[in-house]
Amino acid sequence: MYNRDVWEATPGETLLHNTDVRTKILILLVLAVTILLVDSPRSLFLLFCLSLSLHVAARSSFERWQVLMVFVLFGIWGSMTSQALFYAREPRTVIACLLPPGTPGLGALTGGVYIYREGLEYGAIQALRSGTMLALGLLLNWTTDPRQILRSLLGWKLPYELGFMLITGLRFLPVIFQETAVVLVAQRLRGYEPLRTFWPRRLLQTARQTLFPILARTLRRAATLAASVESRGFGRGLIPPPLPQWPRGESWFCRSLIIALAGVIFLKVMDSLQFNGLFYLPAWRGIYDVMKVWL
Amino acid sequence: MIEIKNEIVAFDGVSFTYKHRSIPSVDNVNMRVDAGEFLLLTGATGCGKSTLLKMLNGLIPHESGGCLKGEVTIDGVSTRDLPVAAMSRMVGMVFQNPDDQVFSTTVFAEVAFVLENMGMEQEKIEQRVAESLRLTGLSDKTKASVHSLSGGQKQRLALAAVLAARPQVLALDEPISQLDPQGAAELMQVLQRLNADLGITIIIVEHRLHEVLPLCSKVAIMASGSLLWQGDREEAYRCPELFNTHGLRLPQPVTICQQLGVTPSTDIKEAVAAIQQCYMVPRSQPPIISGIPCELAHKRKDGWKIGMVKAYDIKLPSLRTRHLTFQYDGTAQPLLTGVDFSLYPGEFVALMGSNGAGKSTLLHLLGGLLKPKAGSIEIWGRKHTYTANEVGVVLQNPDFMLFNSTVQEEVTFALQQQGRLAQAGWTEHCQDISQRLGINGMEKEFPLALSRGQRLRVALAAVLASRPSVLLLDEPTTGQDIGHIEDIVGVLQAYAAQGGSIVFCTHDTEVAARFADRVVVMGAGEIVADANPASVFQDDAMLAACGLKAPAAMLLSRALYGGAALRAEEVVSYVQQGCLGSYAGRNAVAQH
Amino acid sequence: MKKVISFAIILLFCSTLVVLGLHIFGVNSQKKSFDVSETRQTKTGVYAKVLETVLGQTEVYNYQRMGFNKGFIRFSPDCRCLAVGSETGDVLLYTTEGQLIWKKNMGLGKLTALEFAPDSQTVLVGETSQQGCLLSLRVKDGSELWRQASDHNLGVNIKEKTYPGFVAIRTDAQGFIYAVAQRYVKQADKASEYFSRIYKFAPNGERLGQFPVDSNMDGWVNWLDVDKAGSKVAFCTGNFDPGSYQYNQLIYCIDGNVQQLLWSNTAECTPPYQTVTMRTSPDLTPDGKYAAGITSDGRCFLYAGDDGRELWRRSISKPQKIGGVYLNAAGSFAYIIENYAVFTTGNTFNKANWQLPTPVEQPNSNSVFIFDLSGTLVNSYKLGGMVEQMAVGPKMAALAIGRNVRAKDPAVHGFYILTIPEAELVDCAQTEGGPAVAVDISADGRYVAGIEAPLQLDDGSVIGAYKLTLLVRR
Repeated sequence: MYNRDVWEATPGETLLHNTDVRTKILILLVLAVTILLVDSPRSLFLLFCLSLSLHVAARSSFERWQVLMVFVLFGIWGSMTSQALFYAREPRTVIACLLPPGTPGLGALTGGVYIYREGLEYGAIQALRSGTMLALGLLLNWTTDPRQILRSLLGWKLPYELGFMLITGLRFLPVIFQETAVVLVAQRLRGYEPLRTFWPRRLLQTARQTLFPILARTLRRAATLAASVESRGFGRGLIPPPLPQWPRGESWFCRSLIIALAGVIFLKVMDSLQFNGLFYLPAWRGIYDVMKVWL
Repeated sequence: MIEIKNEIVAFDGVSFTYKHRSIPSVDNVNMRVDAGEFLLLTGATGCGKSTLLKMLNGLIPHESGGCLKGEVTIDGVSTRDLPVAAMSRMVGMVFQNPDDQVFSTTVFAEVAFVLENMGMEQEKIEQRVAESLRLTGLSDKTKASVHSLSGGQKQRLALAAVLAARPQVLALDEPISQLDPQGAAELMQVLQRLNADLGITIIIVEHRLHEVLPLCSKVAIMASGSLLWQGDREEAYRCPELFNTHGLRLPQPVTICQQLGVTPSTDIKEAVAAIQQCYMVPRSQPPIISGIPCELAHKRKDGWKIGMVKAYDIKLPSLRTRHLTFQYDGTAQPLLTGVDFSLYPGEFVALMGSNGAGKSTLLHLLGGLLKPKAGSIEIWGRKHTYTANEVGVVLQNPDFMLFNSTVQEEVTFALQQQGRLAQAGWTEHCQDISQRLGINGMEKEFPLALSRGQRLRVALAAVLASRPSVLLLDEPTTGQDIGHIEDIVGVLQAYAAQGGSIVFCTHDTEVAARFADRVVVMGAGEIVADANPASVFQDDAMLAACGLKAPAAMLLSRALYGGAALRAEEVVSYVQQGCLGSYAGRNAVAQH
Repeated sequence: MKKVISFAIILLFCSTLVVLGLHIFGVNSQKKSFDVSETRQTKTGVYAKVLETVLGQTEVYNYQRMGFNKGFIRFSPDCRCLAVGSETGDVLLYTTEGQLIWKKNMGLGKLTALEFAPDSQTVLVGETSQQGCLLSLRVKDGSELWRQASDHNLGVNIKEKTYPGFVAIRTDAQGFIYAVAQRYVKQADKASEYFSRIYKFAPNGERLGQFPVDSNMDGWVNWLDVDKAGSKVAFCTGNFDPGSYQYNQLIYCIDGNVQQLLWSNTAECTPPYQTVTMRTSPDLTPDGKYAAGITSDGRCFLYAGDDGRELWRRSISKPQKIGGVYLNAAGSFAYIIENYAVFTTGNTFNKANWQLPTPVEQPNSNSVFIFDLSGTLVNSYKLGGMVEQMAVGPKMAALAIGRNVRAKDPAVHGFYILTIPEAELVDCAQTEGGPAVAVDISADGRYVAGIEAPLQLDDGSVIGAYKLTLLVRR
């Protein structure tokens, strides 16, 4: 995990590596909007599986799968745990009581600590959303040259500042992971066991001690990178270079995706109008039924 | 006859003050660089040379936010008038760390970046990329992943990435400071070719003068933001005091020639010839291997060549490895194979080898940054438990070790963790170390805001404060001027004198030869030589195989009188004593 | 160690995905099949469990707010299939061996009624939705044959979400379908308003008639029954609020064409109640000769099918004031099984607030009473919990026993099979603790199936699950 090669884009010959970066970004954006629109756990689960299958298609290495798995697991269980404990909406179903309200002290103070089933489900749905985005984001990062991403975004009129921030993020995120490991070891070598306990105070101290050096180093690196890319003609006054021809097949695929997304948005609006009792089209009953299950 | 020169770079009364600072970092610099010149810009750490370099392509003032006075012109165009992007077609800028500037995934993409920003057509881009890669010797790496390149190759890639724009001027900020000798030599060869064949003006900022001086035509020396001196290389040789007073290290042949009063040259043959013209240097006896006796062994692929000389029989090694092997998961080849290594109290060991030879891996294993696949590490005969007071490690990048709010907290941190300091306090020992390392008076400073040299010294003080038995340093001399190196070495020697053991990784053979008691050379994950510096640096074949080169003093002494001197002073002393009265030149000994 | 960690990560990741996937997609994720010959999981062992399967996740209620999770369960007349309608909107068709044939989600609609056609070839599904449809699904593959909406008669207010829906479906021997649809509106002044209609459809979905023809009934109609010949349709109307209503009789009987009122009858209210109704009755004998019903205040009635004469009435539970509150055992189901009228009562009802427990338990609460057709009490059987549903088989009754709001004993929850008229327990399959909410018994009495709902106990823990249990007689 601390190996920076795991995080950085590597060239390859898979379909995903060879796909135009605009197509990839568009797929990412369309799916991002879709997973925000869709509430159906079934659809979200399938979209998540789709994002995983793309990693299979990209032949992501075992180390990368490990990274992905760890992040997804953290996301799923973290989200489920927090939502299971703190879910506040109604209805909510208690499936376990961790701390009965009658427990002296804490019980009375907290009013009891319960695990709510709806919280678990809500957490899982949120985790599927974030997991899908994470998987797709990593896929884009691992299979795409940052330079290509930058070119495409600038070609789409992304402000220079945002473009540079994106590149800095993509460029240094891998390094940060690697350097985190070095800093943690450096702390250990000086007698400090960073992960010995997980008391909040200790964690805060570790976080501060780890963040400081990495931040300082990253800032210096970012300054060098900024100077380097500006010295190579990339700057505020840059006229975005013309983008290469978008492969016709991919272009049509993307257009279809956008149309499909527009369709999903329209359906979602219709469903929302129906749900909120504002507009119902009896002839659409079959579509409403499908939407209830899949949207 | 008036020589007409084509001036390409001009600094006219240039001063620059960074935002939120009152003292200018560059102060009233006037300098001219002619087209096709190869200028070495040097000076002590923090003298403002990198700042000056950034003015060349307009990074200063366009992206700096500070206050620039005066005028910087490139080929008659003021850098104020053109944005950095436009300037990039005239001036190519290469920075210190290749990892910080390379950001594409493939070599081709990295080189094409500048051309795309110029709005060039794809066909032309391909041609230009191919040309740049050919010039930098990376033609066979066009489709390679940038991660597969060595440090030297990455720096050449960074060079190719700016070269593609066909700039008139190349500005390089300490481009070889992170490279091993082989990588540095490769890069310097490329620069020399670009300068000689294409007439590209090169301005290079560097501390490693012995590697750059032989190639450059002009030298400029800066101090405290001002241009102290500028002139031809040969003129520079005649001003040794200028270098010495500003912590700059002249190449050893130049120093020797100067001290012997002959025409200085960086080239060994020329220097020998010059000396022999003035001195009748007698051949010496077979080389006397001086220094502390130790295990003297050369290991090569064909087996052990030199017999073992056991030393410290009665002493317990402070650190010993037995058959140490290391391999990253999922890789085919081990990085380290069966390394047996002992370190005794009081030893000052230089660990050398090209990048990828395994020296950093060994150091990281000894320090506990990595865990061995096989074999064991013992400290004082017991299994290494990786606690703070056994082994101290100073990383190449000291930033990773600085995580406290003040220098004082940083230095006392380990003691507090070990419970050896009841409260945050400042012991005499801490005071002493700080003083020796020149960081006294900075106790309340934020460590990460200090200069690189200061940060390194704070990190070193922080480690030494807990009095580890073994001290490991990864490239402590990188980017440091000789003055700082001597400061650091002074502290380390005092530490060793008190029984501490030191292992330091370095590419700098002169530093190793000058300060180390023992040199361990690694190659392909094995120890290929482990002996005193004089012995190690005599084995040319081994050194060549490991991408190393003997110190120039040794090469010169060998050529001159069959000697094995490690320091310039040794050669000078030998020549002066051996040839007493034979010299009748301007600085003849007999005349003194 | 690294390999172990890697393996653990992979294992955890895969198992997390599988669990999530099963939870999201798989109602049969917790399916248990049993070997009939070896297991003995019922009280007497006369019946054995064939299948237990979770039907999905539903909201869990406690004793104070329980009884809203429903399920619908019907065996086909040929005893080969079992149709299940779940709270989650799924219709599932199983074989009586426990194999799932198909599953169909009703989408927007909330399932409110389920019935088989007499030829066992179609399943009739009633739903409450914006259109309030009655659907006919092919047993073979679940495909929809036809649907008939009720919104054009009953109206719909999508803003207030007052939707029409078919709440009860019956068929006659010829396959004609009789169904009741209703819509309930709670006005801003909290007054209740009802719109109800009885429909008759041909097996092909053609609407043959409706009652009333030109207007809706102004009371609720939850239930109806039809004789085998399809000549009489009996139903009951009700109202929450006392007042003046056009359909203010207790029980009505209309002709088989659902056009004309044959007869109606009423019963005065029992003080302190101001309204009375039959919630889940009446029941007509197959020949249409008798109609039996039980009222909410605990009175049983037997009417003559031809003219609606009240043949007799019996008071099982008269409201009494104890501890300052009126309480009684509410009547729930009424069935005529051969020559016996069977009535059931539910939990002791607190008139002041039905959610509050009563100081004492009404002795006749949660019981089955069996009368002969002359009105003589033949037998009774006291059950530990409320009869949530009752189904009849040959000389048998299957009962889904759920919550007892006073005793709060989960051990009584289960599916009970009694002989009629002996009122002897043939067998009882206890649930996993959750109350039984639905039950049916096949026409030959060989199979019994029921649905259990999860229950939240007072300490917050949840027992039971929303699941189907299928029993077979050995």
